[in-house]
Amino acid sequence: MTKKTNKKSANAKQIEPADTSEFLAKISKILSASLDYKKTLTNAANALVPQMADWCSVSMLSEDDEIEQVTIAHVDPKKVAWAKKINKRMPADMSSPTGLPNVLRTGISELYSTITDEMLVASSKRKSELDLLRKLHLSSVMIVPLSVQNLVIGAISFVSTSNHRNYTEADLAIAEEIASRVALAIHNSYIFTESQKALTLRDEFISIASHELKTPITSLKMYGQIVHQQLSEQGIDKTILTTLSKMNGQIDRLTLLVNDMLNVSKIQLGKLEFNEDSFDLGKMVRDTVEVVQASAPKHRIMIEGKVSKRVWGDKDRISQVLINLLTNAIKYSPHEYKINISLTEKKNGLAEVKVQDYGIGIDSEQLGKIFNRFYRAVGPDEKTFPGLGIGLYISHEIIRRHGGTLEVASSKGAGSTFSFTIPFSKPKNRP
Amino acid sequence: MNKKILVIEDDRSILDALKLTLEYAGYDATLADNGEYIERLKKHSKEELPDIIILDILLSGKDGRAICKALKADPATAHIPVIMISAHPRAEKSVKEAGADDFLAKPFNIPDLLALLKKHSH
Repeated sequence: MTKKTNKKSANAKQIEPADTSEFLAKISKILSASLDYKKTLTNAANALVPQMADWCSVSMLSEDDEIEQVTIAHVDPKKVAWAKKINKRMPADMSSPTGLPNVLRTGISELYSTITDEMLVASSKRKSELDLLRKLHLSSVMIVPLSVQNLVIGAISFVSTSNHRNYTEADLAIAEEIASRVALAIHNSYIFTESQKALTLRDEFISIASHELKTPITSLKMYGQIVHQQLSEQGIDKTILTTLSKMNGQIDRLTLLVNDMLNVSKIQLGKLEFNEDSFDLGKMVRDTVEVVQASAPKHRIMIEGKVSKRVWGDKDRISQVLINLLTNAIKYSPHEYKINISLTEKKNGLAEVKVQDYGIGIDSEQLGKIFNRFYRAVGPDEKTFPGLGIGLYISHEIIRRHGGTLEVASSKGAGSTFSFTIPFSKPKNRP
Repeated sequence: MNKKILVIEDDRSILDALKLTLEYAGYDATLADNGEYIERLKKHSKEELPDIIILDILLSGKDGRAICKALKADPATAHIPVIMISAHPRAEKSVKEAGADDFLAKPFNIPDLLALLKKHSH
């Protein structure tokens, strides 16, 4: 074996059977390093030279069956530009009965152990092409297809320019194994890219849909209020006016749901905007409690403690977090009506707001998941409560973006305490 | 004399509801369902100009904020208070940058709209 190796040129360290699995493992590692398939293919082609070839190129079939050379690696990096130029001057002809076009068409590998001058003459249409081919000093070539679920998507060409390396069936088997791993990596990258595109499309759709939904909600709300005013001026029966007020309340609820959907899509698209300023936390809490208390007459929300310093953040967004925590506290306390809010000035430059209820509580197994998007507690008790599973996700994201934390402490049957912190001043790492 | 309110909003249903609301509250309402109407203001005499403009942001081909900027840049209309409305609840910052005097997120409560009109009626 040593003798055989010694025969080879300095830059053609051919892969030995004993190294095969190690080499394939190295290629697999390169292939899994990135989901950008062009970058991955370039890294893989570079890794195949010089062990497997003096030249290595990867070509892909476009949707309209055009051949695109994605990457080319040469044992001498200076020759890469030259190789690309040749490829441009001699583009592959898809009707050619042999070579790359044939492999792409049939999905069957081609192995040319020895390239003879007659072969070069036969494959050249013009003298200039023949001259160029002769300059390449091709001695042996393998072309293997890249197939995904029986569909040929491209091919890898391995070229030896050394008189001492002539590809064999054993080399072809390794090349085909490499090609199957490369094809899988391309497929994974494709699936990843497509799923990302679909997610972006979904979030853009939600964003547009929520805007569209608001248009009829706006006129519906106005008409409801107009009718309410006209009827109340006519001294109509109070039951009808109460019904109309309830309708108006439901329109507001619909608006909140639409806004939440919009917020989730904005978080996903990285477009959740904040209008930050310093504000009076205590006043914001009292104002928010007043609004929530009005719609929950059975429950009694108490505020303890005081934060005298102003805090830094988006007042409306922080109020949105508190509304979410309070409506959850109310929703999950169908038989216990007490809800406590406590305000504390912490020593680490943060103010803390705690919302404690004495309701059904949360199972310890579910505690770690409740801030996940679309997560809803799945126990037999929780299942009976309505909701989209996005409120806590949005709240968690809002607090995180303010440089604070939103945490929960709870046990089944013993109520829950949600606490969030918010800074007194603008965090230093913010623009 | 009743105050004149010009409403520029591309949704017919919202326009109709606003007309009902404004007339019920004692205002004269002129409705326009696209931004082109703003060109006509240039031909209006000072007396014919609206006292307040209610302007939507997305106007099927025109951005209300650009219209607001143009209104505020023209000495003939710069004094007219502009209240911008939008289904984007967080558009306040951008409309203020465009020179709008106030912002109301859709859907809004009629008393909130009337309070803003009262504020800018002087």
